[in-house]
Formats: sequence, C-alpha cells, structure tokens
Amino acid sequence: MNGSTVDQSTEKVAGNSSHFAPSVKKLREVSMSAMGSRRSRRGFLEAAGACVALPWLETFAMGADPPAVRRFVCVANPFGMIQDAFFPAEEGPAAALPANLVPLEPLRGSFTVFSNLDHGFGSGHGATHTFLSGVLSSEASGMPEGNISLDQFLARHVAGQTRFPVLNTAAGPVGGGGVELSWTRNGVMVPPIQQVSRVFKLLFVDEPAERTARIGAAYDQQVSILDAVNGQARDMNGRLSARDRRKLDQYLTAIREVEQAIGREKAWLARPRPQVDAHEPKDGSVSQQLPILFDLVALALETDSTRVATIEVPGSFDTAAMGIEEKGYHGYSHHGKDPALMEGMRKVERYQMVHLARFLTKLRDSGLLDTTQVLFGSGMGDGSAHTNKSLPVLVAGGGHAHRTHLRLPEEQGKRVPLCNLYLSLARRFGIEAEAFGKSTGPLGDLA
Amino acid sequence: MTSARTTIVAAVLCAVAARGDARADGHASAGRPAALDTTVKSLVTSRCLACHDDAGREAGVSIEALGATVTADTAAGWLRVLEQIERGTMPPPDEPQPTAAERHAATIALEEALVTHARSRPADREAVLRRLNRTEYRRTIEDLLQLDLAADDPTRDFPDDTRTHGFATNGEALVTSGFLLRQHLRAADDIVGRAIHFEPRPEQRTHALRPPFEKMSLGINYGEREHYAKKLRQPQPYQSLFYRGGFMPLGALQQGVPEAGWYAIRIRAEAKFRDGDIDHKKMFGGTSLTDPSQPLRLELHTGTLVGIDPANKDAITEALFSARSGDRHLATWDVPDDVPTWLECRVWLEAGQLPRLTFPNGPTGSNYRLDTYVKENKYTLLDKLQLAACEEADYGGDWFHLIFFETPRIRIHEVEVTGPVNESWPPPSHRAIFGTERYDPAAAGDVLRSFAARAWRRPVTAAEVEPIEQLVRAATAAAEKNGQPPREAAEAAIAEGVKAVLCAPAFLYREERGERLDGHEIASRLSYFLWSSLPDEQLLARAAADDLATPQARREEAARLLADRRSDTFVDEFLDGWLKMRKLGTMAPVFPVYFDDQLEPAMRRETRLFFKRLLHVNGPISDLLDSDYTFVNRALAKHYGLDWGAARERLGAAVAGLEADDLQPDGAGAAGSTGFVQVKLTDRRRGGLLGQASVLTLTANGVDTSPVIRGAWVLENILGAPPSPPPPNVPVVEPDIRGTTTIRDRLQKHRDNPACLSCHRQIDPPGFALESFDAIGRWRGHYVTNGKALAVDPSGEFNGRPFKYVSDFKASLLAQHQQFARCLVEKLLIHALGRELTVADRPAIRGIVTRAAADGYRLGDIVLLCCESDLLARK
Repeated sequence: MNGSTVDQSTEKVAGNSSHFAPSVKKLREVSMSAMGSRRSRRGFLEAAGACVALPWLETFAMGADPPAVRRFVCVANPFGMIQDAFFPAEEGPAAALPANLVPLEPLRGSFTVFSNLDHGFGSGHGATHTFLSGVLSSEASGMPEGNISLDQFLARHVAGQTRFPVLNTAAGPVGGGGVELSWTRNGVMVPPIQQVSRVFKLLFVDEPAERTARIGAAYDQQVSILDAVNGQARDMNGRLSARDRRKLDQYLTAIREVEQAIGREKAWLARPRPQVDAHEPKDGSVSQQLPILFDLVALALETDSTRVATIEVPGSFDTAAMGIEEKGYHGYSHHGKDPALMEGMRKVERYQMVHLARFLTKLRDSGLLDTTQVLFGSGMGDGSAHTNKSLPVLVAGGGHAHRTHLRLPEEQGKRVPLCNLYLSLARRFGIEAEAFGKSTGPLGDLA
Repeated sequence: MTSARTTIVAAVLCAVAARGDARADGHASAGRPAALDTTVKSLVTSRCLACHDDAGREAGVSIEALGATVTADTAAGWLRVLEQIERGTMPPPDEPQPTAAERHAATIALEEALVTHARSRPADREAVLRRLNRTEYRRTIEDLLQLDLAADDPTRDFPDDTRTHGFATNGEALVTSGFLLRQHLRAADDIVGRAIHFEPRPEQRTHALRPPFEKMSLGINYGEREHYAKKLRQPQPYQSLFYRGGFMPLGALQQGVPEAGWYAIRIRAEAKFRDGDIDHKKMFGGTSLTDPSQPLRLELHTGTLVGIDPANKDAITEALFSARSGDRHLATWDVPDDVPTWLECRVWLEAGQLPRLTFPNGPTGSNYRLDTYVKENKYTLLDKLQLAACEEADYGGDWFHLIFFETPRIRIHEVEVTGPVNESWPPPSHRAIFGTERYDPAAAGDVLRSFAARAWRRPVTAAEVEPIEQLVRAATAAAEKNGQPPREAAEAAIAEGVKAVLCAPAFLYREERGERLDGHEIASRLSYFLWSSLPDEQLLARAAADDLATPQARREEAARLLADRRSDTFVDEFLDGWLKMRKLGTMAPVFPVYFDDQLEPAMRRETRLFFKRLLHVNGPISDLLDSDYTFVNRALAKHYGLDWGAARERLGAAVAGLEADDLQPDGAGAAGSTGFVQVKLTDRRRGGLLGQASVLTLTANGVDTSPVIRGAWVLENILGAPPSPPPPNVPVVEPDIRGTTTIRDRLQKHRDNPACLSCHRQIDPPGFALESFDAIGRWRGHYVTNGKALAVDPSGEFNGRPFKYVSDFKASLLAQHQQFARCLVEKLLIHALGRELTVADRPAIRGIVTRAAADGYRLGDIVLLCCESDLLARK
C-alpha cells in the first residue's frame, strides 16, 4: 500500500553480492530510527550520502569479481509495425527474416521476435501508453505498484549506483501523438528528454565548479525546506479523516523520496563526468536525432552513466526525410490498406530497424550486448486497424538463449501476458520479483 | 513454476483484487435496505418485466432478480433502472410507453429509495484532500504575488494532472509524487527569485536601434545588408522581412534584457507591395498562402539564449532565428501600407528574453518557391540596372535578388526598447510579501505569518509558522558564519522562508476539516471553482465574518466572482474538462489548410467566445445544442463557407458579454484583421456546439471520422449518459480508405446483431448525423477517395425520432433539453466539488435542474444555482 514503506531500493540489492548486505541493512536501521526528530533525519541523510559512496569504494578495495552489471534499454514507437514486415512467417532460430528485420541478419542468434504477446486490451490509442507497464493509467490506483513501467521498476533497483538511475529520451517532440512510455509508481508520466544536445550535456558536460557549488547549496536549502514543511504535514495529519490522511501520506512519501534522491545526487555532484571522444550534437528532426540518440545511449551504457534507458520514436517523425510525401507518421499509420501509404509506413519502420541494428552491433562490439537486454516494440499492434493485440515485441542481448522467432499461443484462454516476459526480463536484471504488472508468472521458454 | 510459488502468486493476485474491492467499497457496512414504493413496482411490472424477468433476461438484464428493495447488492442494478426510466431510453421506442406522469412519479420514488439507502451507509463520498492542480497553482501564485507568469511559465515541466471525467479537480486522482514535489521546489525557487527584490530600482534604459537589427543571417537578409554596405555604400535605411517563418532577432539585445520587467517596445514599420507582382496562383497552386486583400501582419515574440552554449554557433543561430518551444507570442499588428508608422506595445519580459519579429502571413519560402520565382521572373520583372546589379554582386545564391522585386514585405525602420519600466519600487510582488515598509529581520515572524495567512487562505497560528521561522533563523546564522554581511544574510534567509510557505502542504492542498465547511473553506471552494485561484480580500472578509453559510450570500459572491475578469479561467478550464478541448490538436490533422490558415487557435477561440458570451448574458443553454449564430474570423468563415465580406463590416464592434481582447487575439498589439465577429447563421447545419469545428476535430483522429467515437462523445458530454464499453472480443473495424464502402456500411453489424444494437441504437445515430462533417469540421456531401465519390448518408433514428440531416437531429436533441441541463449541472458539480457524484447527491441536482427550468435553463443561472447549493458547503 502506498505511503508507509521505506523506499524499496534499499531493500533489494543486485544478485550475488552478499558483502553489500550489511551496509544496506545499516541504512534501513538508521532510517527507521530517524523517523521522528528533525536533527537525526539530517544525520540520516549525511549517513546515506556516505553509505551510497561505500559500495563504490568497496568494489575496488575488495578486488573481488564485481556483481554482473545488468542493463536494460527499451525502444518504442506509438503506431505499431506492419505485421508482415515484422513477424517472420516461420518459427525457430533459422526463420527467414521479413523485409523490415533484414537489417538484423548479422545479429541472428542475439535476438528473438515474439508473436501473440499483448496486455489483453482491446483497441485504439487509449491503451498504447501501457506498453511498458501492462496497466492502464486509469486502473493504476487499484494495483499495488500503480502502473509503474518496467524501466522505472528496474531503475529503483539500481538507484544511486550510477549518476542517472534511468535516462528517458525521445528523438523529438512528444506533443501530438507520443508514446507515453515511462510511468512512476504514483501514476506520473515521466517526460522524456527530447533534444540530443541536452542528453549530451547531462551525460558528459560537467558544470563549472561554482555552479556545482551553487547546486550543492541549493540542495541543502531544499532539504531544509522539506524539513520545515514535514513538521507541518505531521501536525496536519493528526486532525485529518482517514481518507484525507491517505492523501497526505502521498505528500509525506514524496518528501522522503525527494530527500533520498537529493542525497544520491549530492554524492554524484562532486564526481566528474566521464570524458568521451565526442562533440555536443546538434538538435534536429526526429530522423536526424534518432541515430544520434542511439549513439548517446550506447555511450551512456559504456561509461556506466546509467544502466536503464528508454528511447521513444515520437509521432512527430518527419516522414518527408524518408523520401516520401510529408503526411505525418500518424497519417501513414492510418494507411487503411492503401498501398502507397503502406509503402511509406514501411519506410519509416525500416529506418527504425536499421538504426536499432546499428545500436545492437555497437553494443556487441563494445562487449555490452550480453549484459544489456534491449526491448523494441509498441503499445499499438496494427496502427491502421488500431488494435492493441499481438504487439510487435523484439528482445535482443541480455545473454538469453535467443530463438529468432518464438510464437506463443494464439487462442483465447491460452494467451500469455506480455507482462510475463517483463517479469523474466526483470529477474534477469537481478530483481527477485514475484510479479510485474499483470504477470501470471515468468515466461518459461526464454533463458 | 513450483506449487509454492503458484500459491504465492495467487495470494498476491487475490490480495490485489481484495484491495481493489476494499478501495471501491470504502466501508464494509451495507446500510439499511429501502423498500420500493408501489408506483415503482407497478411501472416495473407493467412495462419492464415482460422482457427483463429471470426467464427473458433481455440484453442479459433481469429486473426480477433485483427484488423489491434497495440493498447493498441491488443498489447498482436499481440505479441503472432509474437512469433508463429517467432518460426515457426504456421501454424501447417501439414498445408501449408509460405516461409522462407515471414515468415522473416512478423516477422520484425510485430515486428516493436509492437516496435513503445510500444515506444509511457511512458517507463514502467525501471530497478527499485536494492538491492544487497545475492551473490552480499558477493562478494562485499570480494572484498572491501580483506576478505575470505567462512570459515564462514555471509550471511548464510539471507532469500533467490526472483527469477524471475530463476534469483535473478530483482529489482522489490528483497525486503528489516525489517527482512533482521536486518540481514544486524548483518552481518556488524560480518564483521567489522573480518576486523578491531587495536590490535598488534597476535603471530604466532606452535602446534606440537602427537597421540592420541583426547581422548574422544568411540568405536574402544578408543580400540586403551587403547591398547597402558594399554596393550603395550608404547606411541601411530599413531591414526587411521578406517571407513567413523564421524570426528577426533584435541583435543588440541578443543576450536578452538584464532584468525582468515591463518593457515599452516601439517599432516603426511599413508594409510594401501588398499587391505585389506575385502570381499567387502560379506560386502557390491556388492556395491562399498570401492574400492581397489582407493587411501584412507583424508579430512580436520572445526568444532567449539562456541555456545555449556560447561556443556553439549553430545552436545560437537556431535559438535566435527559429521557433522554439517556450517562446511566447507578445503582440500582432496590422502594418499600414507605404507609410512608416510607429507600432507600440507594453510587454513583460523575463531576464534573458529578447524581442524578435516575424511576418506570419508573408509569402512562403518553403520548397524553394521564392528561389524559383526569382529565377523564372528575373528577366521579365527587373529593369536593366537591377539586372546589372544582380549580375555584378557576388552575394552567393540567386535568391537574394528578391530585394529587387516587388513582393509583399515589411520594412522595419527603427526600434526602441525602453525598460524595465517600474512605476513603483519595490515592485508589487515584493510588496505583496513585505508590505510597504523596509524589511526588518527582527520581524521575520510577522512577515511569514501574514504572508502564510494569505497563501494558505485561512487564519494561521504562530505555532504553525514556527518551523519556518526556525528555518529562517538557521539560514541567517549559517550565512553569517560563512561571512555574509548580516543584512544580506537576513534577506537571503527570508526568501527561503517564503519558499517554504509555498511548498507547505497548507499551500499545496485545500484542506476541508469537517463535514460542514467553515467560512474560509467555502470561500476557497467558490474562488477555485470560478477563478481557479485563491479568494480575494472581500471574499476572505465575508468568510471571516462567517457570512458564507447562507445560499444567498454564496450566490452574491458567486455573481461578483463571475463578473470579474478572473472568471476567464473558469471558461477555459470548464471547456477543457467538459468538451475535452485539450484534445484538440493531439491527433495532428493531415490537412494542410489546418496549419496554413491557423485553424486550430481559431476554432478554439470560436467555442470559447460562444460559451463565454452565453455565460455573461445569461443566455439559454439550448443555444449550445442549436443556435442561429456563432463567432468566426476570416479563416474560419472560409472554412465554414460563410460570407466574410458582409461579416467583416462588424470587425471591432462590441459584443455584449465579451471584451475587446477576447474578440481580437492580437496580444499587446493592434491587429483588427485578426478579429472575430458574431455572425448570423442562415442555414442550420452549423449552429450550436455540434456545428463547431473544435468539437468536430477533437472527436476525430486527424485523418478520418468515426461515428462511434463522435456518437459516444455526444452521449457522454451532451446527454450525460456515457455508453458501456464494448464487449471484450469485438473485432476492430478495419478502416478502409480505398473508397469501396462507407463507414456506415462497415458498421452494418451494429444494426444486424441484436446484442450490438442495444447500445449502438443510441451511439451510432448522433455519429451518423455528424458524418456530414469531415475530420476537421468541413461540410461534406460525399466521401471522396481515389477518384471515387460515395454519398454521405447522415440519416438515422434517435430516441424514436427519425432524422434526415444534422439539422433535424439537433431538433431531437432539443427535445432532450432537460437531460442536457442535468448533464451540464453534473459536469459543473464534478468540476467544483472535486469528487465523484453519488446517488445521495441526486436530490440536490434535481433541485438545481428544477429551479433552472423555471427560467428556461439559463447558463449564468445554472452556475449560480450550483454555488447556492448545499453541496458546495459540505464535504
């Protein structure tokens, strides 16, 4: 139930690193005892800053094998994929690749396309935002973890270990017809960063020293403000009805979340960003930014700036750049079986697959592919018919035993929830989860 | 999966389900059963049980199974029965009907039973502690601190508020997350920085700018500069705007103004060659991208280099010359022809913002049109001297030769920027916190207490403010220890205290302590309903005197609040929530005219003007269903096929209920040609909300229309009777735009299959009537695709009344007048109360509708009646 639990990122730790456990437990004890008085809360935060730093030092000090670092990237578009160009006709490792998957031929053995997976929703744009969560935002209040998306779910687990728990990006403006990919546990849609120049700056450009000092001072001021208002909130709590108390609980939880986030960020403030052999890129149209974004995410993973990233291909895709008439990505997705429009749609889809293939190759060449699970897909099945059934789903990397094309049961009653795949991905990431979204169990066949 | 794990998973799923139920139920108590009156029982027996008994179960519904009392188990079923009887949808039109008196009596009796039962359960419907939504936060800050946040909205990055029934006021749904709280911290920091000014009055400066105003651009402007500098060797008398798109930044102010404030901007400009030697048809294939009958327009926008890396030349150029999100339109002028005239405005600029100019209705340079034009016409339109100059000059590219042609352009001769203009110092925002006396650090507590009292909209105790006072003392001490002089330390510290006041739960949430609201809580209800902002002095004074408990007092204040300009926010927020106006533009239409003629802002404004006027003249709500008038500008008149020639005579004429700046969206400038006019509609295809392009566009998907979507919208928002969702395994209707069948044909199954018919009998007909309008609201008699034309068939039957076109469909809507009134009242109450409506609210709603009926259901009256209602004074 929302509100009264300690932030779960302190509870679970990556896989087989038992020497982390003591320091994490210490964090919990400190936090539990510090729950009342203001001064010891301040102490808790200072301790938290120190504790977050400790595992990092311990890694080097111990000299032992570090825990296998796991990564996750999701790439998604809002309008689905034309079925016969995405799903192979046959199953199995040797299945022939249809037109839009041909760019992935050199990576055969490192990816799997899944047929007949979806979240069980009917039709339309109303459900495409559930791609990474499986839960409609309108049903979120009834679910224990709301409609949290897989990227946010995984990011909580590794918060503090890298500068950015998660990097949410989009190749262009997400205003009219966005993917609405990333959702927090509270049902807030996380807006993606839409300019490659900003992504670059966040990852690789250090602030000047005096600005860092000012940011640090601002953090301290914010924490003081939160202290002051926290007291008022507790007093208010005393006189509220039960239902209102549940509401204010959200506020109190929010305060704790912000304090923890500030604590983690302060720890990173003083550390310089990694130096990379690249210049700040120019912003541009979606077709221009998409390849750059793939490169930046690859760099972010290589430099361990983040372990979780999402890339949205938004509805503002500049279709004219594909050498076809500018009718808008949404316009082409509503091809209504018109051959000319379908051809245009295929070109837009192909472009995405070409650059996905390039990205995967890059990861493979830098040795990251086996530890990075890459998910490509959409919350829309067939954009023209507007269905949310049998979504396009492709998983690459992660060290899984890939099968090129896996066809899951089609009949009603035997269908497998897409969330089952996500549960498997989460477990592979190192989280001992019982369930994710509406999963009924992990996906048996993979890994 | 092991059996142990299966059990765990099953347990988790059960727990999830149970939790869901518990939430829905709220309390375990089932309440006392309420017996049904004989009027209800006799109506049900004679009119319903023939089809809806246990044996028949028509459409899966058995009323026999509900028994003869309202209990916790049967309440939901009986409510559905009540709705069907009340709306007249049952018995179906082809069956014998009860008399109106019988129907009414049964409705009242059944409602009474449901309400009695509902009231016997512990109240589950209280409004939950409500966070200020984005609009309310912004408006509250603006009114509290006398700040204009439009130039740079600090809430721009706030996540969208969750909407319930379209409205962002539902307490349960408005969530506070860590993410949002961080945004509030940042916003408070930004806002306090803008509001507090301990520094001395900034010097007012006048920048007198001469052409060329920018020296960075390439292309035609580069050619113009070089022509004067290198060829003619004379000071450049003006700098021209040759085409639409792109901006001319005022280069001398490139880094933006150093201080935020009011700036007086004067521009001496003239329009040239409006009738210029462009063959419009030839250049633009007959579209109206330029129109010699229209004045040339000049627009002023903001731009900024804040956040741009000074070493990145490309980024700088892009930021100065291109459109960027976050930039604001400040003013529009119709530029006089051939006579350089001073155009003036007074605008607020934030620090770091610079003014830049653009020519929104100039010729377009896209697709190399201007280059081609120059190439093709060089030898016919230029004289020998000009041609020679072209050949000689080496400015790169042919297109700069455009300077010699006589295409429509605006010449800017001089610009003056004066500011910041501060009539008083410190500014109003500072005085809103500190009063008129100089800040005395010893009085920090008093300052915080009085500011908190206004910010938190209620009296405040010293104890409540104590933690914030402590914060200020600690911050002062820390700063002094760091070597800051005491005065500065105190000033920085009090700013922190003000931020804390703005992040406190008492600011961010509207608390309602008891079942009956006290004066301040009622005052907030009224002001947030009608202004989306905090109560003003007068309202607070009446609250303090506990004067708002009577309906009469609430009505008086509500009338005063409506008459105030701040109620414009109510018009916007209510239309957003009720008609879903926010959806307009989310599915970008594929029709170029939508963007070329800027139809979206125009259609939005039409609906806004229509509703606002109706509200302020207290007109009848039937106008919303069908009217003989609407509001159009030039582009919209053309879109609707109306005669603009006659209408434009009335440009600038006053319209009762509307202000001049409502009708003329030119910001701080003066552009009569952009104005809207109230027009009389002679044919009844348009008229009312269903004829307005905004509604027709937001109920389509930008490409094609769906009768089901539009029909469902009408049922939900006009009749307050949202249809049930489709059954789970309905296959999707595959759109087929190859043109062989119409959508009506493809929906044939709705009519053939009785299971579908039960709902689609209601949903489809309004949609069919509206098929006469395409996805952006243009009239169409045929679907034309791939050279094939199929006739649109907009006929149907609705509630037993057949109709042939949208005009007679609207007549059958007017017959449902009362149901529409009820729907409107419900929407208003959902917006105002911030919670779901329940059965127990029905008597109050009925009361409002009955009283409104007495006067013909007038819009202003209905809003006031909602404010008078007891519902507004209870949780």
